[in-house]
Amino acid sequence: MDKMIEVHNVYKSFQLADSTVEVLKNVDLEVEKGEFISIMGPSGSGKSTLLYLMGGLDKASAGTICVNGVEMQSLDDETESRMRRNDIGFVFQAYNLIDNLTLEENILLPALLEGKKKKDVIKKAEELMETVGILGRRNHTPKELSGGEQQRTAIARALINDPAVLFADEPIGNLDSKTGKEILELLRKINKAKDITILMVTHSEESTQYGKRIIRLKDGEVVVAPQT
Amino acid sequence: MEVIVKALLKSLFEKKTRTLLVIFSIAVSAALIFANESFSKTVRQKVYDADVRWGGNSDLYISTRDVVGAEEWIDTDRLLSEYGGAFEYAFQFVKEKALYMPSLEQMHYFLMIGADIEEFNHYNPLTLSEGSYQDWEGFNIIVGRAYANEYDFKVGDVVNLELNNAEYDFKIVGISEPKGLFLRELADGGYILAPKETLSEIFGGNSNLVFLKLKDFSQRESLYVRLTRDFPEYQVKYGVNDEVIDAETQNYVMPFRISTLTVLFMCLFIINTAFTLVTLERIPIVGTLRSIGCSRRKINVILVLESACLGIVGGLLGCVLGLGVLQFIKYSYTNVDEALANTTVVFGVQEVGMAVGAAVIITTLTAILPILRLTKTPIKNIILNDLSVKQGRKNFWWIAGVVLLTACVFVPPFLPNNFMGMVGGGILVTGALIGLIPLVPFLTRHISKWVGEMPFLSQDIALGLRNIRDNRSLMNNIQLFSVAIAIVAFMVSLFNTMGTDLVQAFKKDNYDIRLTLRHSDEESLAKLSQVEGVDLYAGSYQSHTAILNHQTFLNVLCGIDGEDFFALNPVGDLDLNREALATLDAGRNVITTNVLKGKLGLKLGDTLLIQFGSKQIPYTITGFVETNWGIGHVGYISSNNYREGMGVSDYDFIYIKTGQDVEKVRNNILRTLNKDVMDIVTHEEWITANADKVIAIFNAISSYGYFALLVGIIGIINNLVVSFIERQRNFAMVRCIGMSKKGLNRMLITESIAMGVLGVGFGVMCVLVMSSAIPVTVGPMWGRVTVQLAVTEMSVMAAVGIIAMLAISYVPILRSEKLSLIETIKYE
Repeated sequence: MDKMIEVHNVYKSFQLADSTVEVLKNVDLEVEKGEFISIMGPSGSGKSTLLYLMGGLDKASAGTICVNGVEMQSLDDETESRMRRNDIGFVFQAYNLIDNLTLEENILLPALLEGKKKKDVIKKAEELMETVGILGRRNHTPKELSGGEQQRTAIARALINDPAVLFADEPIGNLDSKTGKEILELLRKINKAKDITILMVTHSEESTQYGKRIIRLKDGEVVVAPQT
Repeated sequence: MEVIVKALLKSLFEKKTRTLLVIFSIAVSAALIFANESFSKTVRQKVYDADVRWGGNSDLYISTRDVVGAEEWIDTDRLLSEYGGAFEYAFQFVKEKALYMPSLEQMHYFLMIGADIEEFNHYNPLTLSEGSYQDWEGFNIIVGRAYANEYDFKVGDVVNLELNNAEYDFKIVGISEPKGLFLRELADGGYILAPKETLSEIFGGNSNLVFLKLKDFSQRESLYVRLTRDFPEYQVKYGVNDEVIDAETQNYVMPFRISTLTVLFMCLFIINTAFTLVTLERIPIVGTLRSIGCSRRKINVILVLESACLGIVGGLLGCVLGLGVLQFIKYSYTNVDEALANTTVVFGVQEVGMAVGAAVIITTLTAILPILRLTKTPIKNIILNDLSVKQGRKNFWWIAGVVLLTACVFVPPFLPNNFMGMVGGGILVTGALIGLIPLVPFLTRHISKWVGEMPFLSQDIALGLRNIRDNRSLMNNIQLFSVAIAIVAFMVSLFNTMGTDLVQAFKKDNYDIRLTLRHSDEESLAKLSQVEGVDLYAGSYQSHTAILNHQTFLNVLCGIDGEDFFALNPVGDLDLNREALATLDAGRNVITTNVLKGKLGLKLGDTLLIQFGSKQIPYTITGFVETNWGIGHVGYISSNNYREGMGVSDYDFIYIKTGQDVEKVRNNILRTLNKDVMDIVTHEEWITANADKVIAIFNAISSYGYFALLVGIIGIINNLVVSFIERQRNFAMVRCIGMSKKGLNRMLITESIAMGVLGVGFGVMCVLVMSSAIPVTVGPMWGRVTVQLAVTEMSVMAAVGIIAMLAISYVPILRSEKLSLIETIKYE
């Protein structure tokens, strides 16, 4: 299978006052195309940090990260931004929608930022809204939606430009269990239907059932990264 | 309680910049109030000093009349024998004209005062900047600084003066500061002090000017009456009228008061905005305090007291700033009114108290609403961080805004031309400013939506336009900016109108030369009429006097011979007053101005009780003309009545019209009339000398408005920083989904340019509306005016404002450069 993500000898540390905090130490892992990976670990283990490094939201202190064949460490801002529009999708715990835009506008935003015309992508957006189950709420703003509806919107936004990879940071952390299950089911459905590689950070063992593989982190190191 | 106060204070001072902005805005407000009150007191002192520069500390003075055939000397023996017991002092001086003529072109008549130096110093203390009066005898003299500079006089110089048709060499032993008698020397024509014995010998008499100080001041009124009755051959005059001083003071102070009101409006707006932001940021701590049992009332009381304390701090700081403002005002007057520039600034506990008190009131009142809004927020909403405003309810305040602006356009023509009309105009202007505030969001939303839908715009620009209508802080910036532009542009336009009108009034005069002769008797006038180039001339008597039954003054009481005067000094509405002019000498009739008519509510047939030296004579109003000469405080009476009332004979001014080269005609007059010419000035010289002064005064006053702009810009910067902090998460998010740094910068720049353009546009629109009320606002005090919009200043402000907004946008851009995406988007 093709390698979608390759992480080699990655270190990440932060400077806090007079001391250096090592968040990730010598992390090595590979993700195949189309995999649905759950990243687990206790608080402070570095799992979200690893996710953001892979997603290009931060730079590693050492090591290399390749996503879809592109080495992330040496990218300039324009290239990185283009990757985030086209190759990578993000879903966050707090949904992170833009409050003054409607759901439809939130979903269309990455495509519009890419320079596409609304009339060229609206059909796609409608399909995604249909898929995630929010078509009837397209003209509402985030404040008028439930948590589940907002997260579905965030997922649809992440998929508008057909990314190769979807990074989800505790996507059901703010949701009740029923809604959470619905979201996870949606992610599984997307993974299967579109062959999109998904990496999901989670605290919940139950959530890992939806993925194919679990990567466990402890104190910044990969503990177990079994192959499927 | 102590713990709660400590917690709240700590949270206040955590946001240092915000707190400093609040204190600074309060300080600016207090500074302007302090400066206004102190300036008012200082001006009153200045007017008082000016009015007593001749009288000194005397209560009354007696002088001979300046009429042909009048007594030349005062019978001081009779005076002292009959009244000596009532006087603390009776200083006997000599006053005569002395001609300084280094050349025909540099001829100048000084008023020479012969006095015992000790007595002079007692009645009107001298302040010498150079020299001394130790050897006060012989031909030693003291001159004033103004004319010393004019003619390059120095201590030790010998000056040749002509007195009583003979020439004498005098030695300058001292030069006086422009204080006391020499306070307004240039305006008064110049003074020279000499030993009394010397002048008495030259002119052959003892005294023609006596200053009297009474043992019992309460006897002043009765003694004035008795002296006037017993010595009709002389002039008996009072010192100063307090009500007239107050009226004169108002003329100086009123324009600054108007400026201050408008700037205060701006400061109130900014203080309110800053307080809103400060209280919003304290929501978490207030929520915590409420959740552990602290009552709403307790928190309200603490926060209100806290704002009062901020008011005290800002007020005291404002007094210090106010001293700077006062110096600025004085400096502005340096080339305009030397007396004011030299007057010591007067302020005391009262002014400090007023400034601090006003600051506390302003701060507390503006803080109350945000505080109540804060404490009314349900605890649950605070804890769950759900502080959003309920959507869906439409805001119709913009309709009120439209109504207020419309009223300002259409109501003014219906307002009366009097004090009530002026008040009405002021209310309409303030209403327009207030109406602008809710109208700005309404218009911004529609304009940004319309522009944002244009197909050629990139998404980051479209987002920027979207943000300005959705974000409260950005919308607040547009409101701030538009109000600041409106205030400054209106003030500059207002004073442009008044200043231009005054300068135009100077230019409207039709004469070419203005002349003052030693004696404008028949012989001199006959000579004048024979001078080549003198086509037309008209004499007039002019003095400054009081209208006693209205507690005000006439800047010019003008005695005229007939309509020829108006041929050379045009006024409006002359055609309506032909009959009044023809009958001016038929009785004690006076034609006054529409300005006084509006100010005092006068009508035809009313009586003005006018002060003529020691007499008070009632005059009947027979007409009203349109002029703002003398800021409209003018009365025209017949020359005969003037001569009889004032006891004078020579014209103060003779206006001359020529069809030839003015300089040539001036020289012809000098050659023909020679030493009879006391003063001669062309119309152009007069305009140059005075127009600059007018413009300088109005520039000084309108620059107050720039304080408003300064405070507004600081408020805008603060708002931009706050809006960035509020939207950090959004910025991080759009970066996460693929907006590049350049794209984010473009979005921020779009917001700033849009804010600048809209702010300027709305501000200019408001100024155009507000300018409709200018004629009715200034008319009662100034006469009919033609509105002169400050187009140049508005264009400069617009350009500078937009550039400034663009520059200010680099504050959030620089912060966004340092934005850590992960730290911002992670929800902890």
